[in-house]
Amino acid sequence: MLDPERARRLAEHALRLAARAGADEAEVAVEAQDEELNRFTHEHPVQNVLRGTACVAVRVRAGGRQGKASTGTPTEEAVARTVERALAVAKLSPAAELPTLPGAQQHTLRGRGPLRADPEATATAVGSVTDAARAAGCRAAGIHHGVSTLRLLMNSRGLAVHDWDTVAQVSVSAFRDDGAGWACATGDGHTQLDAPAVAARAVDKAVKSRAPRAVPPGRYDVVLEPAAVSSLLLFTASHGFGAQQVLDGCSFLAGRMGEPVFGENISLSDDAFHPMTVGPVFDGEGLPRQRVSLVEKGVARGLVHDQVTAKRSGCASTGHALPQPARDGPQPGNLCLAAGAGGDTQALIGGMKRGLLVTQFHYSNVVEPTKLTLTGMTRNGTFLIENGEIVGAVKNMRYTESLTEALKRVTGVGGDLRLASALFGGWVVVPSLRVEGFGFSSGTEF
Amino acid sequence: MATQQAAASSLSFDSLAALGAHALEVAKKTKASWCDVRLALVEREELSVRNGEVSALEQDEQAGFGVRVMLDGCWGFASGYDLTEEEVRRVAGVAVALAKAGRRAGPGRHQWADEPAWRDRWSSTWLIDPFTVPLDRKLDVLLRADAILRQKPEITSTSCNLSFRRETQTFLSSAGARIDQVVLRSGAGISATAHKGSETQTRSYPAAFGGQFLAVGWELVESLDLVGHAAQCRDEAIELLSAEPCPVGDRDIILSGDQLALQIHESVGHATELDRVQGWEANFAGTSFVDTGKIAGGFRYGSPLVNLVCDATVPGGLATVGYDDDGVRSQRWHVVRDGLFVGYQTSRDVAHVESTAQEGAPDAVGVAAAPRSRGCSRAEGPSHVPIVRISNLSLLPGTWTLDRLIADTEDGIWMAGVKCWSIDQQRLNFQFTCEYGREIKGGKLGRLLKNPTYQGITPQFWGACDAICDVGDWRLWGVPNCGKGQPLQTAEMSHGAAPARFRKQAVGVRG
Repeated sequence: MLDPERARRLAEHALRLAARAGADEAEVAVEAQDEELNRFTHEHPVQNVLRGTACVAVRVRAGGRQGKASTGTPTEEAVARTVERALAVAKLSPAAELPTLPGAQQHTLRGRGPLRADPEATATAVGSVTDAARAAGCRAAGIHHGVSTLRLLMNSRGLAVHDWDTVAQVSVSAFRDDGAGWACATGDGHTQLDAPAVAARAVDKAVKSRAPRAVPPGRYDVVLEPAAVSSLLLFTASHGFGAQQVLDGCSFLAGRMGEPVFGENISLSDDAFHPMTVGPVFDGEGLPRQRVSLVEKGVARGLVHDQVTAKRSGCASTGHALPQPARDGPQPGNLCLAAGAGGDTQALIGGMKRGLLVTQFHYSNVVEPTKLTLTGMTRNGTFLIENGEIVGAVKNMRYTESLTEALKRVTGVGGDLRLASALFGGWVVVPSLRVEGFGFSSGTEF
Repeated sequence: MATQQAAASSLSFDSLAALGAHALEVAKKTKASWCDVRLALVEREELSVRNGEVSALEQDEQAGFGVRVMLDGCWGFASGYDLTEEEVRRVAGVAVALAKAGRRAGPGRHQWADEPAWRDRWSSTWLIDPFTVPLDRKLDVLLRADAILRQKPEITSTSCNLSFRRETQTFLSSAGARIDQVVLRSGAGISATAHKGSETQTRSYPAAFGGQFLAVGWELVESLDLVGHAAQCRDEAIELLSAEPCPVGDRDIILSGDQLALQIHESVGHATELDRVQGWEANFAGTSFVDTGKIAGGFRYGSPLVNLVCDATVPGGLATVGYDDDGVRSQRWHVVRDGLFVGYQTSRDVAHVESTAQEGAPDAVGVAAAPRSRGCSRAEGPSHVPIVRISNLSLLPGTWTLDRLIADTEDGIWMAGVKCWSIDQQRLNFQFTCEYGREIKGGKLGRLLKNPTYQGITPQFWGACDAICDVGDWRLWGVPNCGKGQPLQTAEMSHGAAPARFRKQAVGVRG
């Protein structure tokens, strides 16, 4: 794998070449990744993979014109060619008013090294999962996954930073008859994940979710486990709290800053340094990611900015730039929904007269952006709750619901924070939620 | 015509093949029953103008290689980016070690279908190489289209995009195959977002989410005439701000070709990938309701009008290649014939499942006694492991003209342009929202409808298809961003479709 020293040498080489060729400013971003994956079904491992990738991206400016080029070949020769291509692109680009590249910054780094790939240990852990599932009469499928990412960013104004970011995951789906269950453990990979425990939770859910009955579409009180909350909340990153969406009038927050947008029990921040989260601690321009309070007790308080939107808004960047130039502007990368006093999922269920428990949502998407109306399916364990008890499994349902409205009807916020993701990727730190009158619009056959 | 050289990095097919031979040599010294190596250069150019400013103008080239080894029925795959003999040997050794380690997770049970070991060279065809078109000419198209989109104050956001990608790849296998391929894909599109009060509406041309994509050259951009269509795109976005909402109820719907392409993709394409059926995607993208019992039983997927054909040889298709990443020659076959399900999309890894399931099937056309792959194994690039991907899957045209079809519809809705899609993990319950709707009353297009939405269950939906427009309205539509697999891979494919009618569908957002 590309090490920080080799990455730094390549970046310095590129900056020297750019300066020699007459660039006014230049930036080099190096990203190298090693990814270990064992993907399995109940029958056998499907994939045993160790992927190595690297990318060197060069952004140059000359005479108010900007160009960018990148290469996956981390050699001096390829980087030299990349600098030439970036300069050629800049020459042909229209002149634009661009914010000056930032100078040297004070960064707080994660300071962790890369994960050590150990295919034998990984395969052994996977074997423990499939054995546990088989012993319970279940079929299982899942992944044992670890990723190490080295990011280095240097520019001609003296900014230089690099850090490692690591994430590991054991994710298991279990199936028995017509029942399905899912569980997952996620962390930074430097502490071993408990694969058998994950398997046990998935198996338990699969067994309990057998013989599901159909319930009619309509509005139900729901308890959403963290994985279900994550697939809703991630859409506020892509469609809400980025300053460009607000400036363009496409966000549900347009014209609503300072106003109540969610219920008083909802507080949301973007915090790259939350102890449970993962991801880079500096942004696509090399600026430190700042903690931004987005919603305080239901009131819209903040947005995330890059240098472009900050300039348009007359404020400072919050360190949320994507690699530049970014067509869709800045985005939160570490949403954290504040924990409440509601205990865990079981405690939230305890206070419910009749409703549904949702393990996961599948394939959620945006129907309408200004109310953040979303649709998606339940998956891997949906249960009917009566008088505070799970009384049986139900067939999967399609929800179609405005997230902004749903977050005004939260009647319980769990204390069970988890690092969670969703089908389209991204990470959030969220607890379970209990929501009143969540809208389900149709059902399916399983 | 195709370049015979991986030009940007001065890598030739022969130099790639010489490097790849070292990986085969490493695997040969083990008990590996199979080894293949793909070495590739992927060149990409992205241009985007947003709200009058150039928001992306980037060139990228990624060279790398991936080595796949099967040992005692277990796979190992490793990839690297340093194109040196030493590194190729090291990565091949890692692939072998992974395959060996994999046995600790469970017995290796992979079966690998026999296929000829081809030695061939293949290329997409194009008229104008987009990488030779000057950047200022490309930007001029985008800036002129964007200026027209922004001519009215209701438009708050615009996006105009061009995208070009060329993959130059050499495939070698331990069975003696060597396949050199060049695949070129181009894309172009514009969109305008209008905003007023609490309403936001977007309209795109010629399709949403980046536009139209085909495996052709710069001639795609010229044929689309983005500048000439910008005013209509802009005005339709503005008109949608004051449109009526889509009614709730049961209506006949006529879907445009681009929307139908996504419908095919989600409710037939993914549902008939045999790796999904086998549970290989069960923890991520999901499984499928099209279990293997349905192939021998003559499962009715749609009405007798419905013929869905995979064709990895169709000119311009994004999944059109000479050979897949298992080294299998491209093919054309029916997935649904006269409404009945007759064939999966397969790789060499899962071909035996289809072969077994089809024994005794009345429609077992084209499946030999020995398992044969349909050639659907593709990887995003050399650093990814090949998985079963949707081919160019198309709905064959019918006999109607669009005018006649609308005139024949008493109470319906015309829906066009992809806006939102969602489908359950077995590919049964779907809900789609389009950009643009028009009510149809008494055989005539009527009032404009915003957020036209329909929801259904896959076999019932296709069973309600009673009219398909003819070849005059049939086009290939590109899907450039199909996500599948862990780690997530993006693949491209096309779906041919003409507008078609589906009787009594649930429309509007219920709940």
